[in-house]
Amino acid sequence: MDPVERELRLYRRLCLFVGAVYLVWWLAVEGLLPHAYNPLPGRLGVVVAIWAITGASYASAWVRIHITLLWTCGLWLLTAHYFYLFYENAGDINWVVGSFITVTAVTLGMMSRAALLAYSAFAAALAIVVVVELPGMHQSVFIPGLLTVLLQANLGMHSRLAVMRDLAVSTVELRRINAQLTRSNLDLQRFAYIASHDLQTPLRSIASFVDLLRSTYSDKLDARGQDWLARTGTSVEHLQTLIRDLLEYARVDAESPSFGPVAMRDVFDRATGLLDAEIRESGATITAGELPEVIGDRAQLVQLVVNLLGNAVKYRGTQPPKVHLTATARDDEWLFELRDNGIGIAPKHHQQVFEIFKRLHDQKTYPGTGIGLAICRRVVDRHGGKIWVESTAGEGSGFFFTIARTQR
Amino acid sequence: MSDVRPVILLAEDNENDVELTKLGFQRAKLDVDLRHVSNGEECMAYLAREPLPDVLLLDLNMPRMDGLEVLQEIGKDPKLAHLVVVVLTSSKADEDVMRAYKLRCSSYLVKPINFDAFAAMIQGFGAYWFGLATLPPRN
Repeated sequence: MDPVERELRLYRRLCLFVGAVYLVWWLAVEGLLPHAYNPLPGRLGVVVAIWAITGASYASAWVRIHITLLWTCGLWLLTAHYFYLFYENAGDINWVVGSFITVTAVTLGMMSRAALLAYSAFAAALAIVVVVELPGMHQSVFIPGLLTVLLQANLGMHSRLAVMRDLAVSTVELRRINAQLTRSNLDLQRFAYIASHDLQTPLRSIASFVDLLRSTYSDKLDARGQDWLARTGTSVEHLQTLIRDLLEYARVDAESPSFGPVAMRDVFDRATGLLDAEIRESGATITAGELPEVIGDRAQLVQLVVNLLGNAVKYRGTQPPKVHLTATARDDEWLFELRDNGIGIAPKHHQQVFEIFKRLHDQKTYPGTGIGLAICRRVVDRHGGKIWVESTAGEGSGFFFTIARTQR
Repeated sequence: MSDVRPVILLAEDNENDVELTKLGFQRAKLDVDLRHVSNGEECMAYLAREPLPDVLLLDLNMPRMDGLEVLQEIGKDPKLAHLVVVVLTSSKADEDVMRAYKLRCSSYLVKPINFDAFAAMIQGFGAYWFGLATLPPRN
C-alpha cells in the first residue's frame, strides 16, 4: 500500500475511533455522573461531524487530499473549545480532561514536527494560563495568544499538506500512466504474437507453391523465369526468418519469466552446445572464467548467451574468433563481459545495434535479421539489468550486461 | 471389393493447406482416400455418420469449432474415443501442444515451412501409421 493510502486509512480509523470514544464518554458521564453538564446535541453534533468527514473522504477527492488540514483544524477547534469550557465552566472538567486527553494522545502521531511542537506549546501555554489564572483571566488575552500559535502550527501543517497533496496527485497520475503503459504494452505484445502467427499461414502457402513450381515446372521456364522464381523463393525465406524472429522477440516479451537459481556455467555450456556447428566451422575458441549462480529464467538466459556468442563468432574478421566470458561481482548485481576479436562496432552505432531489425551489414556479407541484440536487451531488461557495448571498428567488441542479484 | 486404402479425414479450413496436403501425399507416394471438412462442426457431423476414417488429421485453427474443441468432443463420445487423431498445425507453441495431448490426441505434427520438408513429414506419417502401427479395426 502506498504511503498516501496508508495515511488516509489511518485518519479514517482515527476519526471513527475518536467519534466512538466521544460517544462512549458521553454515555459514561450520563450514566455515572447524572448531575454533570452533559448536553446531547452539542456532543452528538461533534461525533456526527467527525464521522461525516470520514464518510466524505470516500466520496470526495478534495476531502482526501485535505484530510490533514481538516483533521488539524478540527483538533485546534476542539482544543480551543475545551480551554474555553475550562475557563467558562470548571464544572465541566470531566469533559475537558477526558476528551482532550484522547484527542491529544491520538493526534500526536499525526502532525509534522513543526506543527506538533507548535501545538504542544499552544496546549501547554493555554493549560498553564487557564489553570493558574482561572477566575481572573480575561477572554481577550486568550485570543491573541491563540492566534499566534495557530499561525505557527499552520505553517508547519501547510508544508506537510503541500507535500502530501503533491504526493497524492503525482501518485494517482503515476498509477494512471502505469496502467496505460501496461495495457498498451500487453496489446503490443499480443499484436506482435498474433500477427506473426497469422502471417505464417499465407507465407507457408507462398513458400510451398513456389517450391512446387520450382520442382515441377522449372523446365517449362526460361532462364529469366527461373531466376525470378528463385528470387521469389529467397525473399519468402527471408520473410519467414523475419517473422520467426519477430515471434521470438514477442515471446520473450509476452511470457513471464520463471525465476529460479541458474548456474551461468550451465547456461554457457548449453549455449556453446547449441552453436557447436558454427563454432567448429569457424575454428573458434570459446572460453569462460568463473561463472556464478544467478537468479533468472534459464531459457531466456541461454537465449541471451547464444545470441551474444553467435554474434561474436559470426562477425569475425580474418582470424579465427576468440571469445571469452567473464563475471564480476558488484554490490547488487553481477557484471558479465563477453569479449571477442571480431570486426568491432564503431561508437556511433553502439546504440543502434540493440534496436529491432537494425543491421549494420547486408545479407550477403553477414546474414541475419537484426533481432538478436534486441532480444538480448529484452532479456536483460527482464532480469533487472543493463546491456551495452564497448568497441571500436576493427578491434573486437566487449559486450557487457548486468543481472540484478535480487529479482522481483 | 472393399477399399483397402486408408481413409484419412482432413479437418482444415485453409484451401491452400488442403491442396498442399493432397500434393504432400502425392509427393510421398501414399495412396490414400483423402476426405476433407472445413471446420469443427462439419467434422463432428462427418464423424456422426459411419464409417469412421482411419485417421483424423486435425488442424487447430478453424472457425466455428476449433481443433481443441473437436478433440474434447471426440474424447467425450464413447463411439469416437478410439479414433486416431493426429493434430496437423502450424503452431509449435507449448500451450497448444500441451493442451492437445492433454485432450489425448494421438500425435502432434507441426507443419514445416517449406514443401519438401512437408512431403517428407507426410511420408514419415504414412510409414508410421500405415506401416508400423496397428490402427483400430474398422467395424
